[in-house]
Amino acid sequence: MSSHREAPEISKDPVADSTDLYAFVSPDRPDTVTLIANYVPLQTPAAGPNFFEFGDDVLYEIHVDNNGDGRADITFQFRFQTVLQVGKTFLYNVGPITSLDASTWNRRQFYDVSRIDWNQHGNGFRDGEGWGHHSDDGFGFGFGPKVTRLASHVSCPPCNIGPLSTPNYVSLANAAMHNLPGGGVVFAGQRAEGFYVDLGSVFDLADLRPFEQLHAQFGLNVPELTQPAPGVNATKAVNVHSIALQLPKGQLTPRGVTATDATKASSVIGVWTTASRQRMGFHGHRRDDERNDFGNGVGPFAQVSRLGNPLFNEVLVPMERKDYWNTQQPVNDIHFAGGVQHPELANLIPALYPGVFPNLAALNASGKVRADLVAILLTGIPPGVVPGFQNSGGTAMADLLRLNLAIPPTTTKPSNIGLIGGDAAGYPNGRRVFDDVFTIELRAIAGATYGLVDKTFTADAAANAVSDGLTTDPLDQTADGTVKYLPSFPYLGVPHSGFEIPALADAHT
Amino acid sequence: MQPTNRRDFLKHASVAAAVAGAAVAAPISLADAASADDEKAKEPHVPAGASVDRNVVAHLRDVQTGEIAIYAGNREITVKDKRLAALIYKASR
Repeated sequence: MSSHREAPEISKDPVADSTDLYAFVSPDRPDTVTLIANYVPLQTPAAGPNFFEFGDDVLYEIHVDNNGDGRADITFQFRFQTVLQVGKTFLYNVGPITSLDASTWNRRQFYDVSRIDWNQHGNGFRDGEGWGHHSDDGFGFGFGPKVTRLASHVSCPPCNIGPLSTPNYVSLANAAMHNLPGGGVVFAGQRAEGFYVDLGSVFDLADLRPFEQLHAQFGLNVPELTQPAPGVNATKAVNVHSIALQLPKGQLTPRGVTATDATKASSVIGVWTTASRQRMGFHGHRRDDERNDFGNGVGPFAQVSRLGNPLFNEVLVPMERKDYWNTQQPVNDIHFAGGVQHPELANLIPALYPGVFPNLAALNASGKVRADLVAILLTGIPPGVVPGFQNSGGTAMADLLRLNLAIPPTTTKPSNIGLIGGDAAGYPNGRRVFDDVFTIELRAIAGATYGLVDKTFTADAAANAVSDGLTTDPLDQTADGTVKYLPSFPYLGVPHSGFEIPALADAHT
Repeated sequence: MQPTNRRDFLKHASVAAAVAGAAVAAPISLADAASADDEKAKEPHVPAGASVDRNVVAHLRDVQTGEIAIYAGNREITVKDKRLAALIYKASR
């Protein structure tokens, strides 16, 4: 998937597993940018009695590089606290939850938001509260960055349970959008999954149902694979937990400059999200549990999950390095560049679809570096590659979701295949919730974008046509199960309720 | 990038951590050379009524050099203390 369960170890830790990252100029508030980091993948809506939630013991962060060096200049930190306010009940709620302060709501979650400006001297870290986790030693020496608390103890909405427990879910979710100083908004809570992919076929040896009659059969002669078939969205009718920020653009640019010139590097930001856990933890009942309540973790926070571009770790990093990749900073991504320069999937495609990708096969055989993929995924696209477009803030090789803030949102007929569909406001210029990132990256790896860096190369016709068949055309924003997108913040739809979708098996019938 | 960028920031933090580690280790090093009585007299002073107010875990990294990582709250402090390392090692056998 995009980054759901993309590495062996993080797949066992869903609370800390980043699934998708979005960054786009807000279509309804074009003076702002929206950043959304999703966690806790593949939530079945009917999840009682213990509904999904963020981890109190996880440090969630969204980082912004605004000078192109691959390092964070601004970090937003989110820490959650869970409260049982009814007690002595096995239930999540003991009556309808009609407001965020309803006395019937037993298990609530609150959170704090802080902003770290790494380039500004400030008050440093607050020992014992988990801020500035990378190292909190030595701040008494005055080396601390500027830390600003943006929100304290603000509420998440409940999960969407059903008409009796969460009778007016939209109003509950709206009440959980909290204003931030300076004109921003924050929301953290359950949302409908917006990413779509035919996972079932894709990981069956890269079968694409619309083209499966062309797929190698390995001598098995599977009757079901002799005719084209429509795609099946594996993420239909599941939920996810989102951390969403909408901020004035000037809060993310260097020195607050107004990003109006799309040709300037200073108009480009690079975004990624991470989740971290304390190095050591206690499990099980401890002898001093009754006496002390210091939590179960100890030590500095260590990064266990990371996400910039969709599918980067999932598709381009070998399995034995995926969890290591998750612990690394983007500025170190030159060590993973080989998987981008010579992607394994590019070699597999001609073998799995014999005779369909001869030009890609020849490109692979030439040993040439895939400079197109390096630009899209590691450096940003420099000026001169795509006429009138750039999203390269620098030369650092770092997996960042790069967004040119000076490019206005496309409000009329946006293309779900973004830049390769002629829509410069879409992926890989940031990422909108409806962008068909699987198809975009599949086509790019299949050679559709290599001609941008090598004018002598002609992409195979199939490279511009392949997809997993979940959208009918580039203007289609209704991939099966994703019709719930919202026109305004937080853009990802109202979560599916457990009452409406009691079982995933039913969701796929 | 400004002088206090993340890289420099972490570098400073590492130095500070090392200083903190040295500060803890130094009295123990002196104690190694002292007589048993002096050693007893120089043992770290624990204020009356002191209590553990956060999770604290010691991780023995190298019993030969005495390197121990101490996790306290959300901090990691490295100390070198052969005597303490030997005590932990012995207790773990």
